[in-house]
Amino acid sequence: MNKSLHLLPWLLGLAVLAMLPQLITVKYYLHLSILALIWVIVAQGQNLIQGFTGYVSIVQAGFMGIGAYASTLIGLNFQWPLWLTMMLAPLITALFALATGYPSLRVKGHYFAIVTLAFNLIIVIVLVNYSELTKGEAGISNIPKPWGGSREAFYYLALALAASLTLLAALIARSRVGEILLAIRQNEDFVAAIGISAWKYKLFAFVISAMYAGLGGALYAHFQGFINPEIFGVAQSLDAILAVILGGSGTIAGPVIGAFLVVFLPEILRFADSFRLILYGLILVLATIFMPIGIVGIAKSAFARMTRRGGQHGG
Amino acid sequence: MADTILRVEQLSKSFGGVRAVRDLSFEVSAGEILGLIGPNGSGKSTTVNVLAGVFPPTAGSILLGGQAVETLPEAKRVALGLSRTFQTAKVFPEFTVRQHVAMGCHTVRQINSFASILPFGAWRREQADIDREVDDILQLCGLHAVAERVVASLSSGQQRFLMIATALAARPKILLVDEPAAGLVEHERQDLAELIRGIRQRGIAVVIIEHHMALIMALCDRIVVLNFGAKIAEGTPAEIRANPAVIDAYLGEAA
Repeated sequence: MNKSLHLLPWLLGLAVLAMLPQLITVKYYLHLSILALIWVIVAQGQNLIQGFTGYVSIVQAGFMGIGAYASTLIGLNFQWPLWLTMMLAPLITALFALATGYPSLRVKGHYFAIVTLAFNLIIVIVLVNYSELTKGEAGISNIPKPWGGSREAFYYLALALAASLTLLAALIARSRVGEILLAIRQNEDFVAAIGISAWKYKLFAFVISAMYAGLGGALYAHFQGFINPEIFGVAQSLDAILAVILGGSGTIAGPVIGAFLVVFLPEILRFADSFRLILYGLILVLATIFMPIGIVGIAKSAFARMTRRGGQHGG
Repeated sequence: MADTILRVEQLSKSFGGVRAVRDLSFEVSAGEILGLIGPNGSGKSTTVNVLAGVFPPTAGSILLGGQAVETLPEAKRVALGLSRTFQTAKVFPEFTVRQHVAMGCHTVRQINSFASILPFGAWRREQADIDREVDDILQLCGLHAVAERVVASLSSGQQRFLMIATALAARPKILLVDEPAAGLVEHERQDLAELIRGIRQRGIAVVIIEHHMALIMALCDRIVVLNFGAKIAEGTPAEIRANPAVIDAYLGEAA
């Protein structure tokens, strides 16, 4: 009974999202919703390394870039079908994450954050300067879109992928791997003392998080039809971090809510005109200071307070 | 006596010019309680850290059940049967007591933790076995009543018992306990002595570092005394109490 109770909000949310294209009249909002679903994937990945493992990585957008360029360039140069290149994108990203994660996961805390930030900067520099391949700052346009560019169809593709990858994140979280990641976040030194090789699990979390980003990046490329290096800069990596913090780090619902916030909030604030981004920044700073456990964290503790009288519930 | 679990031979550890442990040799057998005592800075904790694999020895060898382990990482040594606790309470504060002890079962599990991501029942069934083992350990360590509590809400004394419980969950052959009685009140110290005897009864060898002499003298079968990183005496509690070198270096006349 408890289990079905937990599933109910998820099924409701999924039903609402499935009906959304019928409910939305303004096409632009459908466009934003697709971006938000792509960001759900990216943020779920970020949450694995940041929220569960406690390692703040600042290279998520860089990994999106690797996925986006990998899918685009393989498609353009070898004329491979779009589906194949999109499936290859997370695998190629995983290779980069393996190579970068192995050395960088030896350092902790701020040092890890700075090392990954450096990786993101390097990725952008390479994308800008290796212009024979990437067409440099000008970017690549006319990237093929599936279904002749139908937005509704793409929406359902993004929804299906976001939902299944959220489910995968939930499976990881409730497995022993998830418990070990939480243990690493709480006290990494003690993890080794009870016989667990932490590096395996950290590397796993980092590589999986990169694969999420790689797929998100490939989706982005084939949705927008245009990519350039700037899209995959450090600023977007910070958005992934904020999506996790705002939504609720170390929770499964958190990145979903956070992803919609980081996509829609700047749009909702358009009324403020040129102060828009300042206002956005201010909201983020205040939210991070005053609600570090995120929206899901606040909702959970409020719910716990409401039901405390009715008896004790786990989780 | 029973077979040797741990054999330490000519172990040395230097930090720069400081020789924290010098040419230390001793043995521990199954079901034996060995005390490691000495003044502050005599190298007791360094010895535990070198044995557990926190840092490698400068020289010497560590044989665990006949196998040389001095080059193996910490986690591997736990899997081979060497567990330890820390001077200060090191715990996972957000877990429940039950979850915390179950984390210690990692090395005894048959099902790979990555396989547990797949939503099949095998690891759930294993979890049921683990739950029984955890219950048994909680009972032994007197933590049964707080099994569902969050670790952060335990007293520091209870957290020390939790550390021992978690170490036991790895089914060690030998347990190194580093100053387990520090900060414990009298009745907790008695519980601790009782627990360590209970652990011995299960055939586990115990190496205990402690400053509380009454506890050490009451518990240990044998005692090794360190001073400036070197062994200055070894023997039964009665022999150690009467040893002039030990009285001079550590115990003092009053003891």
